[in-house]
Amino acid sequence: MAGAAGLVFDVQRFAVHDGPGIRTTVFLKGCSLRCQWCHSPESQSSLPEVMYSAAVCIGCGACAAACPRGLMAGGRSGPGQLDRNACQACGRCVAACNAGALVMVGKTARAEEIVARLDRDRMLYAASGGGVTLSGGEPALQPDFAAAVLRGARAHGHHTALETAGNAPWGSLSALLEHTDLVLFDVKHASGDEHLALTGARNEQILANLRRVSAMAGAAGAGAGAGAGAGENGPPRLIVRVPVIPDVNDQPGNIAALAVLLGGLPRVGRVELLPYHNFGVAKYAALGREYRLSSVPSPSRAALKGIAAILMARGLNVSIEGAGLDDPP
Amino acid sequence: MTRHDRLEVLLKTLSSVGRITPPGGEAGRPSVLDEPGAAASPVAIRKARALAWLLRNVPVHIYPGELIVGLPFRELPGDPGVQGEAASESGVGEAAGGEAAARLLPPGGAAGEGYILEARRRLAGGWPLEPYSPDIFGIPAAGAGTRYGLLPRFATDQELHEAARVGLDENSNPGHLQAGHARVLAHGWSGLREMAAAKLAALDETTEIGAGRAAFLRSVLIVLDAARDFALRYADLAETQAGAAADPARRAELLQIAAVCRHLADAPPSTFWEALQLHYFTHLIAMNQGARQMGRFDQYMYPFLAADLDAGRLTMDRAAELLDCLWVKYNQLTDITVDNLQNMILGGQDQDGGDATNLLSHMCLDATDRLGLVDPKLSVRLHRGTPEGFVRRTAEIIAAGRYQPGVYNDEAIIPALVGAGIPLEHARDYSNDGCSELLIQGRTNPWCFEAKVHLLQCLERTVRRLEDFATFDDLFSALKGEINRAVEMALANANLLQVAAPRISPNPLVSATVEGCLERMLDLTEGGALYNPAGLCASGVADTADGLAALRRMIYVERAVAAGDLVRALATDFDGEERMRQALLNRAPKFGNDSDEVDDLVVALVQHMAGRVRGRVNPRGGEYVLGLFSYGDYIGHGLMTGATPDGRRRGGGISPNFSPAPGRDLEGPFAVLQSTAKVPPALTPNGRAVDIALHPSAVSGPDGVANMAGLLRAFVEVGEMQVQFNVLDGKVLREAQRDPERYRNLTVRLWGFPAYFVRLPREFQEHLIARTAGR
Ligand code: SF4
Ligand code: SF4
Repeated sequence: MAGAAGLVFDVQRFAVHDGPGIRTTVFLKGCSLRCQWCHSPESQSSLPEVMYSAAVCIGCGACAAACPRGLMAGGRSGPGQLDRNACQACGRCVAACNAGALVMVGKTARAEEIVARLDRDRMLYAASGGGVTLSGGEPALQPDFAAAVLRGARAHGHHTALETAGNAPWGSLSALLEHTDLVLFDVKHASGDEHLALTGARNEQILANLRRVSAMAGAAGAGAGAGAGAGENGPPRLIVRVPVIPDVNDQPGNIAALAVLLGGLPRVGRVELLPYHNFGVAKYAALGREYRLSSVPSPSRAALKGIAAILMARGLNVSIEGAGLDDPP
Repeated sequence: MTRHDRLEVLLKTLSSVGRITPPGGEAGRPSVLDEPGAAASPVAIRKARALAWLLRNVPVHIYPGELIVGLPFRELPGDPGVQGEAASESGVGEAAGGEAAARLLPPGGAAGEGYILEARRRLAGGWPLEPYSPDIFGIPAAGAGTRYGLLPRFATDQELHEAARVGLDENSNPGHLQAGHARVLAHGWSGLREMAAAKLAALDETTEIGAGRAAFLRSVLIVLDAARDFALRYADLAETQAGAAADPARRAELLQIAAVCRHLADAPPSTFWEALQLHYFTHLIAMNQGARQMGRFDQYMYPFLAADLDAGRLTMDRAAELLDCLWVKYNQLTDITVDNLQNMILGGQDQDGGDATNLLSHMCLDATDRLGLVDPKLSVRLHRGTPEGFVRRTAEIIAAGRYQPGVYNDEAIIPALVGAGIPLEHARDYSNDGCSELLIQGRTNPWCFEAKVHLLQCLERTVRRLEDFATFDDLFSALKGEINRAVEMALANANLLQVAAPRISPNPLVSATVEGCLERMLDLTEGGALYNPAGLCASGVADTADGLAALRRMIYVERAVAAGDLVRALATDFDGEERMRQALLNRAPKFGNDSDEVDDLVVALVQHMAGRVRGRVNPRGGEYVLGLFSYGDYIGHGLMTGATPDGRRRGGGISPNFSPAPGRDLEGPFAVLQSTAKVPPALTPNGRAVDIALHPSAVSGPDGVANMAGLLRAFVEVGEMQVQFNVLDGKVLREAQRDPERYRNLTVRLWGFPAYFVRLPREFQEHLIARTAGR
């Protein structure tokens, strides 16, 4: 297990919105949901894939010359027409691209490699109360690798956070929780049918997992405070994150149902509302995919506050984008 | 007058700042050469007389509402400018601005946003975004320092002719000076005068050395006597204005101003107000003499504040009001077209290594936060023992996007200074100089800024011969040869300047304040100060190392590019070679990303230069010390440097100071510090400056300040010497739209994922700019 390897698509240093303090966020590739609004479409597939940025392409045509299957024909416009079903993700086009316009999303990394990278920021975590956050994709889909990273990080004294959508067998998820100080649990819709329509999966498993995590956190009493917890090895603290997407999941009925659902959990540290932005749209183009929500606007501040009020009426502690309700946006 | 009324009235005085050159020009300029015996007297005496003339004749004026007084030396007597304006200002009633003040500053004193915006607006226009703005005092070739053309003529034609050969004139004060403010407060001008007089009385003037010392001591006495008269002119003026004042409260204030000035003429200060006034008078005169930094203001001023508060003579509110008055005075001296170097450094360790942060350190940060004015330019010293509250307050102001304060690390700097031969207790009393150079306050003539090596030019010259080098080591040795030549030229130039300076710009006023000069009876410019280092500044370190790393990878390791092709590509600015350029840019590591492959080259470059500089003695008897600074030169250097092997195009931006090349650091701010900290601070005892840009989203939100504070603590731990954080505003994002290559690294955070700003589609960029508006 020490040699566990996994598919990682990004390691972001100096992340400040993925848990307490200044953190390193490790993005694992592969997800069991296909949310229509997903801002990281490159995280979904469990296979490496080529991503193309037209903005930095110099049109040199080297990629086309490099592809053994002739898939990049046409130089500048080639990658846009890439037949992704035929692409073997061999990486030759990426290697040929001096401009960095082609990027292989998804690289195999060993857990100890990742932990060694975390150690470089040790001073930063210590000074800011930060640590590492596993994100994705869905980390629980690579349970051995994710557990090895979390365990290693903790053994090195780092605070650990896990961002999950919860759509994985409980056995996989709970294996991670053992090594986790803080869980950031995404909840997208209260209705199973709607959830299926919007994300490609029903939500029963997700909600069952959420209750279990919440019950664990409840058993831990107050749980670890922000920034603390590394090395304490108690059950993780729980923060629920709800994306707010106009006309997709912000209908009064769904908000009311979410309020009942979350308000009835044994223990939740906080509920964070994440207002939708359609910033991910460029990445869909980069992956040659279609984006279905391009005309959906961001929710207004007033709408967010209204939703927050409904949740707070259930005794929940609510924040918007991590900020208090009265902070300026 | 309430505090906010006073502030509003004082801020009116700032609308008139900015003009330095007297309109009369050279023609109407007075001269001290006509005075009896003048031509035969030493230049130090003539310079002293010129300054004395200025102190006795420069217009004096007290603006309505002022508690700290002293009109900037901007005009010669007889010039219409300030005098006319001042006369009309006197007529401004005390009640003026009440309505505006109510809008700007809520009663009760807490600064409103409107007030800060207004204050900024008044000073807006020329204040550059770069933390180290171009130091452009119209400097010819070798660099002659600041010129405020106000002194009467005092040099002979022969002296002027000789000085002109190295680019100096009567108004030059080359080398970044700092007055010894602590010493002035401790002894008063009167005490320094007594010290000089006692030395003079005991002197044998019959020897040549004795005569030289006597000339120096007399020059000091001449300027200190004139300074005394200067204080008395203000005492008289305050009394006159008091007699005419309609408002009894203002009359009482003016009488107190008169008493303060009269006291300072003949005694050291005994109250906070007196100490502030003496500090400001000294600063005002020292500014004219090229010494512009305040040093550790919170350290030398605190005992006066504490004594007044303890004795119940002063309230906290009044103390803060006095600071407001002083801050506005600094800004009257501001010339927004240049960095005038009015630097102040707060906090840090005391002589015993304990924490020296005090109430006044906080009050100074508060004053800057409250007023939003550009001066003084604040810096803070941090160490492991700095109280959390001070780190947090610093973090708050940085996070608010003020481009200040600059941050210094005692843990890295003090050992580096000790390594350069400074005793530990003195090293702990370091301060920043004009920009970020290090000096021991009150004991140093630092002589920075005048010896410069532009490394990228050395690389440019070396790379022209690229085809001659069989191995990377050959290339690196050739580069070292070029660097050696550049270092020798810079030292030779700086030596010439230092030899020439005392012959045209002796500095009796500043000498009197700096420890060592009166004791040794030797002017500052001749090596009178206790410490006499001279800085050799190297710029373009990052770009040069990036270029070397790219050459090593592409030519010697991967052999992907032929040397001849690369030389040709550079000569044609990569015409038709965009693919090669992209490889140089993207296929080799860049400084600032914690990559040893290139960081080790930076270390090797700095080590080499430090070796060339170490032990080299300057004409004042001190040694040269290496610093990594570009000042504002990086802008001009970028424009005039051709295409470089790091993939940079001709004329493209190059690294400011010791920062990574623009847009090349992609791993976040801490990785930058990890890269820079690999260079042992002991190699650069003159200091170095790292500039780091942060997007507001990195330090906003409920944890924003805590995260900024965490980054500051991590900076102390990692052992970098000095850093300047800039929280970017919408203007910078606009600039990034125009020049995406330079801002490739600008990361913005959007709903759970990081994005490089320049890669975002235009609409989203616009959205982000809108979000940062008002910062
Ligand atoms: S990854 Fe390989 S198969 Fe796919 S487009 Fe690139 S070169 Fe062709
Ligand atoms: S190799 Fe890269 S830069 Fe060249 S055409 Fe292909 S994607 Fe564009």
